[in-house]
Amino acid sequence: MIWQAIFAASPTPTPTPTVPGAGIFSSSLLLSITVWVPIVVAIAIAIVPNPRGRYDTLMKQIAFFTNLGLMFVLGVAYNQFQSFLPTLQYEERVPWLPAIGAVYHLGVDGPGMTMLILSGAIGIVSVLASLGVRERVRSYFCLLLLAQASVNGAIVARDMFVLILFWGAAAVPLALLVLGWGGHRRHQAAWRLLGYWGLGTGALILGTLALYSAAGQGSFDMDVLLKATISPRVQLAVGILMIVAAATRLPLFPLHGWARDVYSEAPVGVTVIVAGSASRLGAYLLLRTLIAAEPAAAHLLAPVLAALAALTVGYGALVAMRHHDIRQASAYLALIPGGVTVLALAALQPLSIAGAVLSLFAGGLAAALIVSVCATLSERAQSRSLHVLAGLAPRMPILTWLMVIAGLAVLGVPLLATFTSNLLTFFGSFKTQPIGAFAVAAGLGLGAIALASLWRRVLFSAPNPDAPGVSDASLGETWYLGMLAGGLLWVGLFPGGPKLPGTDSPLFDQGLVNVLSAGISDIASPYVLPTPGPGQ
Amino acid sequence: MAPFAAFLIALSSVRTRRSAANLAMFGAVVSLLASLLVGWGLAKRTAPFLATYSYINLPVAFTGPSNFQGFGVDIVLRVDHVGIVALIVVELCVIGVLGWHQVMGRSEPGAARFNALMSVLLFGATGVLVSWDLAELLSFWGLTGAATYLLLAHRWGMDEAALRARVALALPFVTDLSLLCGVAWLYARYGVNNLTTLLPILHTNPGWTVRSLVVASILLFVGVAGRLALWPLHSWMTRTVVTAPPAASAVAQAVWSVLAIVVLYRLMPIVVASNTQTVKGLLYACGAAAIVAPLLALVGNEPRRIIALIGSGATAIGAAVVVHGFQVQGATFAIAGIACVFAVALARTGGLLAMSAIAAAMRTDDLAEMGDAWTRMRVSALAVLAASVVLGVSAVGALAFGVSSRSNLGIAMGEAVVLIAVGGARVFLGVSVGPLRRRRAFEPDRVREAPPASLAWPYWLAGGGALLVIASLIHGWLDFLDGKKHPTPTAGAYALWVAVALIGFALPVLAYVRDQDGALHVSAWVGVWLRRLTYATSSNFERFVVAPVSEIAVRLGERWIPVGDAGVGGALDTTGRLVASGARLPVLPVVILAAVVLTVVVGLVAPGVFR
Amino acid sequence: MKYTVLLPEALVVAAAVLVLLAGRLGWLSPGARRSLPAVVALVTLVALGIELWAGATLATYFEGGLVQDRFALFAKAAVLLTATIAFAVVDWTAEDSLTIGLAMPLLATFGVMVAASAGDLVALWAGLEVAAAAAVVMVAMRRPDLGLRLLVTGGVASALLLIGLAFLYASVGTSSLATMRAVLFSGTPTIALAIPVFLVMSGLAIRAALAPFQLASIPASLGASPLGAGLVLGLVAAAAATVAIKLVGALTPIPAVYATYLELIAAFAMVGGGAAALAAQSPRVRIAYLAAGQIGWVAAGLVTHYRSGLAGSLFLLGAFAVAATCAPAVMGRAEGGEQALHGMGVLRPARAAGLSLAMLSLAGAPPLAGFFGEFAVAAALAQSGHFALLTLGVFGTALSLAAVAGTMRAMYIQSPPDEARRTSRLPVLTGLSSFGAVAFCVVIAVYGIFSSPILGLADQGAEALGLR
Repeated sequence: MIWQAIFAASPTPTPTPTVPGAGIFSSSLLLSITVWVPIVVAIAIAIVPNPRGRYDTLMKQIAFFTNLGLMFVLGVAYNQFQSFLPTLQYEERVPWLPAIGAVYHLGVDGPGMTMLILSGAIGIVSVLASLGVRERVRSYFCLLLLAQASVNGAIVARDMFVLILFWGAAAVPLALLVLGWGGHRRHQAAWRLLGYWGLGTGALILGTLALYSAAGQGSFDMDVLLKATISPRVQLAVGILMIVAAATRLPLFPLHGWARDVYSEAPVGVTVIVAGSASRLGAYLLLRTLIAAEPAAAHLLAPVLAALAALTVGYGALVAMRHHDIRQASAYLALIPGGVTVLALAALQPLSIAGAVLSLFAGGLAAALIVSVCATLSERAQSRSLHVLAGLAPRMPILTWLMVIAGLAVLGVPLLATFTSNLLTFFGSFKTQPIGAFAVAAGLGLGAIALASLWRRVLFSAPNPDAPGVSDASLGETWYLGMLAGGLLWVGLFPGGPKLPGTDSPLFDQGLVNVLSAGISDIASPYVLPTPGPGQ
Repeated sequence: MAPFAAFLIALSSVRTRRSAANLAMFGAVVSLLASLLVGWGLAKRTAPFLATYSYINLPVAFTGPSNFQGFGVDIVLRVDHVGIVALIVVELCVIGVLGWHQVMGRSEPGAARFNALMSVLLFGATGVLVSWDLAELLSFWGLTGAATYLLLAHRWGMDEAALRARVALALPFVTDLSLLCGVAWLYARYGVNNLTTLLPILHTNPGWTVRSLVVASILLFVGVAGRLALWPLHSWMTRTVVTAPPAASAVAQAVWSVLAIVVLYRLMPIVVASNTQTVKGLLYACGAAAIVAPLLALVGNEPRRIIALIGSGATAIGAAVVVHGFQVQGATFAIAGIACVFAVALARTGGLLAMSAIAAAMRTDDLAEMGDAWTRMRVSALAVLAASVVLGVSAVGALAFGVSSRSNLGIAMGEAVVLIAVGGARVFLGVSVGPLRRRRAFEPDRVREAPPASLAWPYWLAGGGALLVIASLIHGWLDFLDGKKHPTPTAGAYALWVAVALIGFALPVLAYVRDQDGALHVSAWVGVWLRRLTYATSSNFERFVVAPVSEIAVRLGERWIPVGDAGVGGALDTTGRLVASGARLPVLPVVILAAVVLTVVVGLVAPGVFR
Repeated sequence: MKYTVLLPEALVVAAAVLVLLAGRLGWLSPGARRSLPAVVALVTLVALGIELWAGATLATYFEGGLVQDRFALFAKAAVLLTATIAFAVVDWTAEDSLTIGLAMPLLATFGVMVAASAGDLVALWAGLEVAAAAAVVMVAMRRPDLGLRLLVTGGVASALLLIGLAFLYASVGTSSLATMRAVLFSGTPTIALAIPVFLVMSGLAIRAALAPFQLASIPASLGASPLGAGLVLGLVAAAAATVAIKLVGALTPIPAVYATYLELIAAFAMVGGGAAALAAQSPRVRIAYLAAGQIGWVAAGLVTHYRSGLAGSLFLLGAFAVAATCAPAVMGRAEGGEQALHGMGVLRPARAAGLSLAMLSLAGAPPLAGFFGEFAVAAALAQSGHFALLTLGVFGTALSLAAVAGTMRAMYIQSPPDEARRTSRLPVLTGLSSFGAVAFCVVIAVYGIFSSPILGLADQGAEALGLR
């Protein structure tokens, strides 16, 4: 029945069921599977007896194949996804808590599908990056799967209550992962993560409840809540709260306090999932709640968003330029893609919104790659200090190339997905946010200087004779880092899918750009510019 | 696709130096043959070859202006006469450089990497030259830029090379961003990327303004000027000219000058559509660059830097002629500027390669320590001479076709030609005449000519440059390039500009005949002061601008925000401890007091109770 | 058939008396002592079954002294469920007396049941006092000094309640809650009404350990046995909250006399509880302050004087009672600092999971019972426009969550020390306690995720109090 539900997945929206539970099997189980399978497997891992770690390897294999299976399911979903269809697809709607108006409502449009693919890919990479974990393997993979499930849940949620549920649930397992398997400053990192994400979750709850009370229809369903007519003042208050929530998660300056410690202290697998998918939820939330639902507030707050974007990009680059710890420098560089995404959202243009969605995907991969490659490099070189690390390129060519690709991805160089997203972002931003766009471009310039200095010192300069011995990336490390780089390259080369010359239909991948465009016109409809008259 | 295929094969399977070099050479030669074939096909027709493939087609809205309802990027392959000639010039430069590097670059590490990157560079350059969609242009432009940086930073494990390569990433990336911003600015107003669609609607599209066109023009010009290495955006080329592999530096200078001048030529209609002040401003910028770059070449004694700077000056003259050609109503001589840069590209490549061979043999990069190449390395010295002469006279055709010697521009260009010729002659005289002195750990008698297999390449390149210079004097060549009729300049015009160049060549001859060491000493002394001035300026900028700003950012991230977090945490902890410490208070009095106080206070504040 | 509804109360009281007598007269063989907790848990489970089966009947007893309505059904079912799980999950080797440890929670349960079905002020007061007295006994078993302290402050609370209720009776002219509500519809918020209500609220706040009146209960809970602590923090507070909800139901026509007061102490409790939990080092103290924070949410729900708010409070009260009563019992003798819990996740997985879920639920972590309850209250606060209180509540919840993370780290991430260096022993594993821990986990999770019918019943409970 379940397989039938997966493969016979009808992407078109299904009618609202009247009986609790009805509608699950008449629609698709794809989205529920992406959320609940990791949870079930995590619980299974947690309760299976594992005397003296005898089954540690099995736990790792279970986690890996769970993610592989999820990716397969997501591949089915991606393959069956109907591009250019503006409505929700793979929708599931089950009445849940009528007393407060919460519905178990899942569904994805183009942006959601894009985020799901990102989360699936990041899930596999994070497990591969975690295969080296030796201590408390059961707890580690249990928490990792819970974190992945909560990220997926937040992506597919179409009910604000469900969104809050998963949004809030992501913080605890990730904080515990940092706390349990992080570096020597893990306590600080974990508490900061909890503190900032807790603040963001609080802001999200308050904003949602403000919407709930203003809408006055006693429902948390996004179809009701985000389409209700709300006064501009309430919209503004909600918008500010949503920006706070997003800024703590993405993160945006000045609410980025957790990023440096978490990206530099967390184990690589956790860093990948935080930088790659969990943090992207911030911009995704802005897209869902502010841009798609509160146009009046979005218009008022767009300059603020653009300023935050520019500050984030410039600040990240400036601090990375002066840092002496490679992992912390990479943490600041990882802020840059998020800033570009927010600029795209701030522009409030159909094209820039499409750019923001692609930037969520590409920026997630780029941020994950830069932090994970720097983490791997520091492990392989047995030091994080830029006073020690020098001239590694001849001795670790694989990591050198991966680091160069990561840096170029952060900057948005052609052949990489970030270039396409930056292209859409800047093309869409100069009409409405020219100053912000120029400022972000200047920030990217600073980023280039920072990267040039970093590469000069770490990779290309003369080797440091006093440095400890170094070794190049292992096969496993090459695999997971290569998967991130490969994702960036594939989407960068074929954003519209691979096509034979002269044909317009993609061969086997319908193209991420085509997939993400489904629903963009709906989201962007309030921002379409009027046709200007002559002389204007 | 041939270079790209070569790159993929190199990436997948090739490891040895020889096979990598052969593969890259094979890709370049196949590419050249294909280009010649296309050129032959174009020779008899005026219309360009055009092929369009849909790359991205993204519908984003169903209402509003129709040109903003969707976003599309097409791979438009448009091969016109200028494009194919530029492509052939680029391919010749790459082939020459690869051939020279096979022999002279034996000691360079990472041969497979180097040759693979050369293939990428050629692929990107080809893409830039055939692009007619601005987004497509940006893609190939950025790809070529990335390959250029990696080539200029090719020498891994060397401090000086790594240090100087930083600027080769940062500065051009900033100017590339300017190009991106310019194109994006245009798209935001017009909603199209394809030049064929864009150019006709520059003044008719609803919502267009002169201001928007001015902003776009400046951004586009800065983007192109950065890659043309026009002063003051030349340092990415001059700072790496010694530390990068000679082949990489030579190919970067040559290829980028050709790509950027062709792109400038294609974008000029947008600039001209803005306003006359903008065009004039850009012309002044080119004129200033044409004078200052060769002027800087008089300062300091690094021969390869001098060649790079006079090449930059000659390119600036070409750019000035292109801008001026579009500035003058009904004029057709803009193409002459491009013909000039084609010649410069080949000549500067040949000159740099020959000069690198001499510098390697004499184990110095200081003209004051060089000399006597005429007897010890005559073939290379002759190649340097040929390149210098070609560089000196490269602008003759362009100026004769387009610039009146009586105009202010003519005077400025004349000064530029003199300075370029002086620079070229300085290099040749500095390395060829005068004694080659013995230095510590250097025995002049051990200086030998470069290996024979490498000698021909600089000659061919310089010779090609000379041919293109001669071609640039003939109106038929220009007619072929842009398909327009060009009036033949008077013989006097040719004679005048050749004479100007000859004056330039004569000046250093006089100076060297009088006192070579003195002349070199003076330029070295001024060079030292210029370096000090540059260093002082940059260090002050670093000290008073960069350092404070980044220090504020660092403190914010490293101290103030953590302190703030800790403060909040501490306050919460104190609150918690205060609440918990209530357990140690005397229970009864506190409870009764709390009950009474709360009762009274709430009674007072509760609406409708006391009030 | 009408009196079948009272069968659960009868069963509970009978079981309590029998257990006390059996303990006092030495009727219990060692084998019987081993199986007694299971038997008592079974009795309460049967009582719960009867309540759910027969409790839907609406009836009035003792001339309105006791009323069986949906509110009573919900509250009684919740407290019976709490007692059943508590008996199943307790590590009896950590308790001072088996029979008293079984009897006192039964009596407290009976007290809450009486208060829940009270039709007038006297029954309300009586039910609360029975529950509180049972708690005093449990505390005094281990720490007579703390028992005395609790008794004295309880006396003050009781006095405040009595005075307040007496004045209320004098002002309204009736002790029946239903009549009082009818009378107050035509009343106005006068000083004569406000002062007694404030006094009653103060007394209830002392019983419920609501800040700033937590001074007696929390120290007492820290010194008591695990089940005693659960009794003080959970059942007695639940009794006080039940009384408060019923009183508020009667007073809703004139909210001015209680809303501001409740708003103030709810804010105190939610933020103070979270902050104190964050600052606490010992898991027992942390549980106590987490409970104090969540009972603040229950009070906050009453501020709204809307049906949805009271329903939210009632729903949250059920989650609170189960978690707050069972959390110390699940933790058992692993008291002292957090190092006492190191490695509990490996050595006692079921209990560690139970303790984690209990603390997470008390902190309001999704997707557990506490979160759903707090969210229901939060939604009601938003609907009634109490955004300041809502903000403080969310802030307090965030602090509580951060506090719980510390304990979870100790249980799951810290490696277990060898038993020789362990300062206090982990709970003893028995079949019943392990089963109880698993059952507890299931209840905490299911209560939230499948909370629709429970929330619906709570809504009917609020409706039964006369709110529309």
